[in-house]
Amino acid sequence: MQIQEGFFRSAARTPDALAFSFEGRQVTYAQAAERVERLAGSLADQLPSGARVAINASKSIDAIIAMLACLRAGLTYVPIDPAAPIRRRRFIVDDCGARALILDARTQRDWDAEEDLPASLELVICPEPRQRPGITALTADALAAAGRPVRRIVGDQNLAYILYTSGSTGEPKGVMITHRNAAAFVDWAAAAFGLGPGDRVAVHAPLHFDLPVLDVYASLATGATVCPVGERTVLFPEALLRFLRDERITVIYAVPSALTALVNRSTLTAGGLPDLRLVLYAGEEFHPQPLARLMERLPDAAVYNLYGPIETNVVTCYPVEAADLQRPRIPVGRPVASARILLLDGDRVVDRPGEEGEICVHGPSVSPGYLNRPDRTAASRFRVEHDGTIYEGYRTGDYGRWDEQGVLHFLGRRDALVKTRGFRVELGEIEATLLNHPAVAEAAVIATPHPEYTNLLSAFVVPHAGVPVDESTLLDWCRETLPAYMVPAELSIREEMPHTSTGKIARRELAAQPA
Amino acid sequence: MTELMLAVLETLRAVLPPSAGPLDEDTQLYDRPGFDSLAVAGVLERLEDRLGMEMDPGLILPETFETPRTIAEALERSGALVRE
Repeated sequence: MQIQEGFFRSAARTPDALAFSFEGRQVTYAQAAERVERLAGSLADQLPSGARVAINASKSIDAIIAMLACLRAGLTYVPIDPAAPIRRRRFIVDDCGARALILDARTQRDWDAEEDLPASLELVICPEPRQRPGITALTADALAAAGRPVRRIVGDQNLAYILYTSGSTGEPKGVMITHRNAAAFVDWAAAAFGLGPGDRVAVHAPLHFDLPVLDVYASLATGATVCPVGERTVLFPEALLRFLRDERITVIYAVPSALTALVNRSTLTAGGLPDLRLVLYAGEEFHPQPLARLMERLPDAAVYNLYGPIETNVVTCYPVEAADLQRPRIPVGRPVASARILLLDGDRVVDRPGEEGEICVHGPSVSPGYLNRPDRTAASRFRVEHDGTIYEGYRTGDYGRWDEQGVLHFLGRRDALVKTRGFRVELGEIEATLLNHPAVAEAAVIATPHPEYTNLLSAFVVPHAGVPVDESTLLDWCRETLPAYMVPAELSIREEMPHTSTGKIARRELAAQPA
Repeated sequence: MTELMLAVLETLRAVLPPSAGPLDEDTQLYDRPGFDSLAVAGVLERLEDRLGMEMDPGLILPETFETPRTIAEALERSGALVRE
């Protein structure tokens, strides 16, 4: 089963219901389905099944319709952060070998300023088509006008989308997600949270994240209305509050940093959002203190902690109760319908309460791996025999333990992957970026716990002897290459780096001395 | 120019990447590269630290961050001191 099919079933069942509401524009299921089918028709005429389509556009109804059209045409879409440095966006288009690129007015300006386009591209869909050799450029309207409604059925092992995430080697890596992977989570979420007609579901996270997979596909499969939160509204807690109130949002799924900002930095009062019935969070830990404040102000909303990396999507779920707010950490919960979770200590499955092990996931939601990175894929896998059954799948790199009730508790990371403001960051990617600067001899990036952002990033740099360089030059270097959330908050230049007896950088020592 | 406006401009220059280009009181910030959610949060946090005050949460809205001037006005309405 393909993940967009639920949307077409809803369109047949409730054609006049609202599928989308965004900045004053309302689109019914029937209208949306017709547009999706026409775009898919043209795309399928021009591109073979399985071709990749990069979508570099701000969150909008049109961007979501483009995603649905790719799936309907049997293509794989690759959402790219519209605010990322252009160098990073080019890398992603090249890495996935995208044949088509879909742009909006803002991102078109960025790409128009490029001398040439990545060689794999043959089709560019943008508001103001500009001719370049070897490229067909046209507007989405022209594409839709030419298309005859079409459907191309692909197997559920085909890729639905590829999401790029921070990679330790200095380049982002593409997580491949099949229709089967995504459907396992979407079907569970739609049923578990009772989504349906009458729900108005906010799309808060950016489309290159995995959170919108729930917002978009679970909502459209159940006849709910998808309400994207404008990118400018996302920036401002008070604007988000007004949006939630005025759009009568019933469900929001967001990272704790955003929800903490809503409770700390807006005029939200107790009972101020009476329509909001469900708050889902994922992506990082929610500190019990701001979470308690949020729950006080939303007395009628159920709150769930969802856990799972991009490679598996959500694999556990925990309903947060008032009593949990006294705990130092909120549990991540019980496995969701389709996932089997094993805790591994080396090759041994740990299943007694209290024992620690690495959280490993077996089940239909586990991604086939990283695009073009068989080495990284292999390194992220496990295979173990337990009680006569072979389990294999993804090692998360997170540590956890079961409690007596069979609830999973998160304990920490085994490596240099950290969360900041809900984003997942490989510290090694930032270090590699600094080391690419000609003046830099040694670099270390440290994450320090922070109550609102989970972690703050501090960089320590030792320049080559006699090469003059200052902090702001290096921070600017980072800003031109890395997405904003990966740019260190502080950077300090040292004459030398502390080392451990084995010659490694003494990270603990650095963590103890602020930049 | 007031000290408050100077503080706003200096903070914006420190937070935005060099490709954002030169800034004056009426620069349209949303047109500048790098002016995203983290830039807004960073600008606000640094200004609040520097000025020792907090912006009224009801004023932390998109229109407040259109230009350096609108930011300075919102700070003033939140109780920031204004010296010439």
